[in-house]
Amino acid sequence: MEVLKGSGNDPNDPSWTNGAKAKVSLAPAPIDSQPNHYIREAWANKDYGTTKEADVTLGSEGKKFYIRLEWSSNVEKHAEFPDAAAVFFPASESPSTPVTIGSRENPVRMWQWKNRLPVQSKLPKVLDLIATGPGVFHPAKTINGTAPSDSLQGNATYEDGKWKVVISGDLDVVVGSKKMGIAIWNGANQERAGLGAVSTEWIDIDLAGIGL
Amino acid sequence: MTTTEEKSVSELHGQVAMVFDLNKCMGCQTCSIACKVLWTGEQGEEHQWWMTTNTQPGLGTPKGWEDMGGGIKNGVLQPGHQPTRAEFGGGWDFNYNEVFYGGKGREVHLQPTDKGDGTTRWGMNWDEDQGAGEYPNSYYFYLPRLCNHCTNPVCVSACPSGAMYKRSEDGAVLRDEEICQGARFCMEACPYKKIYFNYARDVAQHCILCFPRLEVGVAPACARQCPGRLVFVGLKDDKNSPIYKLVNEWKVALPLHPEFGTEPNIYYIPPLSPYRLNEDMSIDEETPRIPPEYLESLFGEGVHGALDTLKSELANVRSGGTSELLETLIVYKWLDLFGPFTTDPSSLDRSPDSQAVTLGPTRR
Repeated sequence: MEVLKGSGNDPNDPSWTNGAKAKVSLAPAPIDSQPNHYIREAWANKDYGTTKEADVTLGSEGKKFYIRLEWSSNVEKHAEFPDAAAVFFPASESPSTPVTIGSRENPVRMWQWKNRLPVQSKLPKVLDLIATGPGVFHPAKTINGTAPSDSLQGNATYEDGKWKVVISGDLDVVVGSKKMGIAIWNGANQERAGLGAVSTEWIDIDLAGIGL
Repeated sequence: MTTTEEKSVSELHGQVAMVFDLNKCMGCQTCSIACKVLWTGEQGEEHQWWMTTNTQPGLGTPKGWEDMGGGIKNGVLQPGHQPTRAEFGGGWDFNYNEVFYGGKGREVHLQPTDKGDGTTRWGMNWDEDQGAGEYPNSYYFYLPRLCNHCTNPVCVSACPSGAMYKRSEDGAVLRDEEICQGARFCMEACPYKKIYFNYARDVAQHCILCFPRLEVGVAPACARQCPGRLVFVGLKDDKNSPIYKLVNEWKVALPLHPEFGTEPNIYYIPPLSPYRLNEDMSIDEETPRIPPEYLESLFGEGVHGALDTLKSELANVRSGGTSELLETLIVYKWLDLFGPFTTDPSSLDRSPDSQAVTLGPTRR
């Protein structure tokens, strides 16, 4: 997938329309891969990972990499869980399927945006995580040998039943991976941790357009 | 306390347990307030009461918690309901400005501000003293509750990120708030529903057994502040402790809802009750006012033997005999309640330069 030069953190910036838009198919992270017996039992007969697809556009400027996501969601005012979205990048050159969001052997670097509540104004909008399976997410700063990023940003708008979100972070992470997956959580359906909808194929990132 | 003694306490390896004597609990909420003041005074913790005392029978907190599922049955973790913010209730904002500064002091009354989320229709002690039964045989008693720091902590088993753990020093079930991602499966799995969610910080939180106090030999705040001298603290396997004798020898201290399968480490001496009154107001000496089947529903089949033991020991003393059990439950010396945790917190060096372990919520 080609990377647009520029475009920035505003999901409504008209320049995003200049980029290639990919429609990415999503599927629930498999129930058998959920990290513990409780979650597997409690959610075995419930629908989760209910978001079917998302539009993805990529951009870059300087040392920043921008991912614009757009998907449909019915936001409920007093839902216990927030809508959320994440992009993740494998460290291995031949990673296993993205739908499990990493594994113990092949961890992925994850940038997760959450639709923060007003009372959460002091919390980062985008979390810098290392994922080793669905819901097995640890802050990157707690993992030895991982340089945590302090440049993550998330900007979102919600209108006409659609989220438009730009997640941005260090280009270096993307250059090192050249692949990415995405995940979407429908908060009104109590989706969180490993109960999200995840891209079924890796998205190959073509950096030629930005001279890399 | 000397440094040597502090070190010996901080290196404890054993399960800390507590016994609450319900025959002495007067529902004063001093335990609840002691905990609240010490641990849950920050933003996002307004509705959190890690220690609560509710009237039984009642719906308690969160509302209807006994029917929310979770726990273990036949070795299998059971799905549970995640209590909502409305089911906990409380943590209210009041219309102070409207009443005191809005020029409407004669028209409006002080009340919680309704945010439309249901939180003003329940609270941590909403059904106080309602109880059950018909006059003159109405009845109730108080049930203090905190995290049970279970031997089989299903909250730990249900956590996807590995944020929760049971530590070996004292058996406290704790959460690394740096790792917690706010998924709240712990709240679903816990059958006692004693885990809260901090919406401001996006992490779950619950009673920490006052572990920073235990580490320096100070009893948990709920126990030390109880004016009724009804909360025993100690090591579960210390055969010389009141805890061990009450639980294992006299078998008068019982876990709450043992059928939940998590092996709680908080125990209760079940409440005795007056006899029922007949319609002619004569006493029915065959029937206790609190239905035994209700107590069995809370404390299991062992409750009948426990009550029989308490009654026979009382009868023994009334007829001039002695009872080590009753002597223990009377607690002539306050510090006898606290096992190895008798240090007076005011005796510790808490100056900013001291190396003393923090006793309050400056843990973050």
